[in-house]
Amino acid sequence: MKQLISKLFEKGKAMGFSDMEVVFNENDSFEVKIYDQQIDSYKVADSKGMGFRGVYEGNMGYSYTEKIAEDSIDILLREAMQNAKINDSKEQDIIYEGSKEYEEIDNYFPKLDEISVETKIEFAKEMEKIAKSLDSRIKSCPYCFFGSGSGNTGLVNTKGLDLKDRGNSIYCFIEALAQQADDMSDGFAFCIENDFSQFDAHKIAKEAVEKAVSYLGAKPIKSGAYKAILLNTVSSDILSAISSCFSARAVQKGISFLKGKLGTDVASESVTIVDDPFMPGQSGTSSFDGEGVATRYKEVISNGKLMTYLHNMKTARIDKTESTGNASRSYKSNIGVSPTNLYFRKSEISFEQLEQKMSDGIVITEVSALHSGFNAISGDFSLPAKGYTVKEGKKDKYFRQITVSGNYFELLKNVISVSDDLTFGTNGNIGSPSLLISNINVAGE
Amino acid sequence: MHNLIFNEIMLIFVYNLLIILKEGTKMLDKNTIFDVLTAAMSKGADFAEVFLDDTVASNINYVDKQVESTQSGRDFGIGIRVIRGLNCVYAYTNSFIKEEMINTALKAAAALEGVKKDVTINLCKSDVFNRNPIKIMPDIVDKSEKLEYMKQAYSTIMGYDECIKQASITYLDKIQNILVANTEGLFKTDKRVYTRMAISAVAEYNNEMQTGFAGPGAHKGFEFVKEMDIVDISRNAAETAKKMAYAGYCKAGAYPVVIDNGFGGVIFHEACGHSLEATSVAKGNSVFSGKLGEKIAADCVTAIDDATLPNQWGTTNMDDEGGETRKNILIENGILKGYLIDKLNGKRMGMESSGSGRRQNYRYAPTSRMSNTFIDNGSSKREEIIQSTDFGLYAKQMGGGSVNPGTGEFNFSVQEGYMIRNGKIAEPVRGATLIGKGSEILKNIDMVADNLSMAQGMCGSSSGSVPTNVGQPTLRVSKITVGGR
Repeated sequence: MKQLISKLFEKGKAMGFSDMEVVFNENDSFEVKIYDQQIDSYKVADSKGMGFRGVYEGNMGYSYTEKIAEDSIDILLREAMQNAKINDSKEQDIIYEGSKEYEEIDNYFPKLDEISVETKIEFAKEMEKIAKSLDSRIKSCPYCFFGSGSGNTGLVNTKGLDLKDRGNSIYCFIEALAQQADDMSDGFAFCIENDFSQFDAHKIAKEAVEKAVSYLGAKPIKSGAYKAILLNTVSSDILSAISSCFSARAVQKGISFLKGKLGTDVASESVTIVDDPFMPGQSGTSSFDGEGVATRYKEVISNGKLMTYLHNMKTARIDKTESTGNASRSYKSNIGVSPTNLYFRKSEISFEQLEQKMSDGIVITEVSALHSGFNAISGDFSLPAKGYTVKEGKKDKYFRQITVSGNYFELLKNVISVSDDLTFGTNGNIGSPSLLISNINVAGE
Repeated sequence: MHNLIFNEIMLIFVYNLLIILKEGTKMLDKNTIFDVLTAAMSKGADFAEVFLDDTVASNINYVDKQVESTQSGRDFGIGIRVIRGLNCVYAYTNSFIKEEMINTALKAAAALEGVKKDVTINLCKSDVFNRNPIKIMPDIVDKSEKLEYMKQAYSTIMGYDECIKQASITYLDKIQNILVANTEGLFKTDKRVYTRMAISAVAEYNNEMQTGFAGPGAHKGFEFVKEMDIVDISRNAAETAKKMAYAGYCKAGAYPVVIDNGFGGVIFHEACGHSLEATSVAKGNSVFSGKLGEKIAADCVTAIDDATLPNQWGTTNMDDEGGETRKNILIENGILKGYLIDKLNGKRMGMESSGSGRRQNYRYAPTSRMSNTFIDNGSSKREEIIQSTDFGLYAKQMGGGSVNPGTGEFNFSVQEGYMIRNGKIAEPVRGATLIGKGSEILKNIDMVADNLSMAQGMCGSSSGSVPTNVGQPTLRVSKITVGGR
């Protein structure tokens, strides 16, 4: 790899590139899916990719290849040069010489490598077996899998920067499908951790089964406005769908609702949203960002007030401020902006206390269609949802086939309190505890 | 005159065939494929397959009167699939070195440890009929020429109305060279050329933003961009954004919905198409499992999946298992006639593949997927449908959606909607979503017009994201739950 990079830089220089940079990813991954106690699918992969960018006649051009070989050098340089030629952007990306200091982070957990393939297969089989044994109405588990992955990322440029990062993780997921007469209902549960001892097949299977059977025969509730709790996983999924609004790039392009709101109250006092690149084992954890800038901890919303947007070097230059270390880049992408680990800060209140506090209302336990029923620009949402009603602080009736709707930024202002059950969703780096909301619209019966 | 056109098409056809043959043999030689397949079978398996993918892709995004991003490069990798019984192992690598490819094959084989069988692999190269003639290969077109068309779309949108605050134009092209070979002796190569524009407009009124979108694409070269009416398409996107910016919220409730032709077909795609894929049917997880020959839809519903329509976005010369693609009748006059089946699920179901094994690239094992999937023309007229609706929602443009194949529950958003009052299209409404169950909606379609048209989408599922066409004539669902405010 080192040799190839220096050859690439050499040839690039001869072609007329001034500054150049290479990012690379090397990943190993494994995933086994179980169906009816059989191996339904089994996937092993080693993958590599290399992204190149270089300044040609003052403009930046990007290119990539998955064939890491000398015969790709010409393609990389030719494509980058062509892309630079049509790049008429007023503000150009620049290649960075490096920050003074980088936090020491190792997101690699050697113990995860010791888990044998047999153990992983057995774990997935166990989850399915338990799920089916817990309730006779569980017809099948359409998805039941265990996976692991590890990867290296590197960034090398002609300004002398040479950064490396590595990480690994394991995960499992199960979906249980319940049937009663003609009625079907599904529920899922998952676990993403860096410690195998945290994986409890019984607990995960039970969660999926309970979610599935609880909604059998559930009917929609009446349309109207309700006091509601968004379950932690629901809130983190919604935050994930809206997270691009915090990007300074979206703000500058006029496609974020947070435009012009810096320093103002955009949420209720109980809301603090943090971007934290240093959380051990989280997927957004890294000491440097996509441009090689050192990452840092920050509050994006502090007690309701919008403190900062997320910046890379280019958006920071436009706003005459500093990069927040939130440049994103994979070998196939240009420089963008993305959060590291973004989450609502939790409180001391337990979920039960939150239900008590609500007294009468609904708990939303699942929403779907986040990619279609959610307008990330305006914050408007209209999402199919499931959940249960709460009467005098106690769980009452399950419901489904309703839609909840509103505007996310109105919703943030309606947050009464947050609980202590911070969790990160399937997306990995976006988290939330459960939120109590004063008002949400339901379209049901 | 006719003759001339015919000759020109023949020439293009021959030219394309030559390219396919030439590049196919260059991609990977027979001996290497043989050795990789042999390694994959070494621990005892019924079947092994090699899928080589060498793709050059390019995209340009234009926003704010400037090039926001451009990216291009080479996707390259080899996927190896090994099957024993109903067990399937998939492995892939970006390596092009023979020893490393064999190593990956051995890793895959090891997962199915069993008794080694004697298998004779007799690879026989066969030609694939090219039903997608390409006139202008996109990689020979200068990027500045591509940019000119994008600028035209951009200025059309920005000049449409004061309320338009933003336009984003994306151009994409892709040339995918694939090779499929398996232990049954199949050895085929194909070249797929895709070109697409994604045009979006953002309008703002009273601090609220709304979007309009169009994403025309085809299994064609750059001639597709040259032939399209880019001004008209851009104006329509801007018009949707403007209308929705000034619109009030849609009222929630359950009432009749008239869904317009073209992208309205996403209703069938999401609500029924996915549940007809063998991926969910084979394991009995679909509401349509075991219902062949039964009435599952209203009489006026006939639905088809046709991967053979020349140059359409969802068309392929062969599927990603090397299987011949074809026209599959899914529902005929309300009766379930067929499923979309890939090889492995076909084995599970005891049925033949319907040529529907697809995958995004070498990183995915193929599974049954849709191609160009649509509800066929009916006998009503569009005007007649609206006139006969006293009160309802007219969904002119649909947004995206998703479905749970297990329960059949679906939802999708309405990008541009209007109320229908007294048989006339009335005020525009925004924020509407349609929710329900696929099996119920099929029975509740009560009128189908005769104006079938198609629109393009990227469909995501377990074998990745693949180009698919959705389509339908204008149709009415007698009752559907509408989410709004």
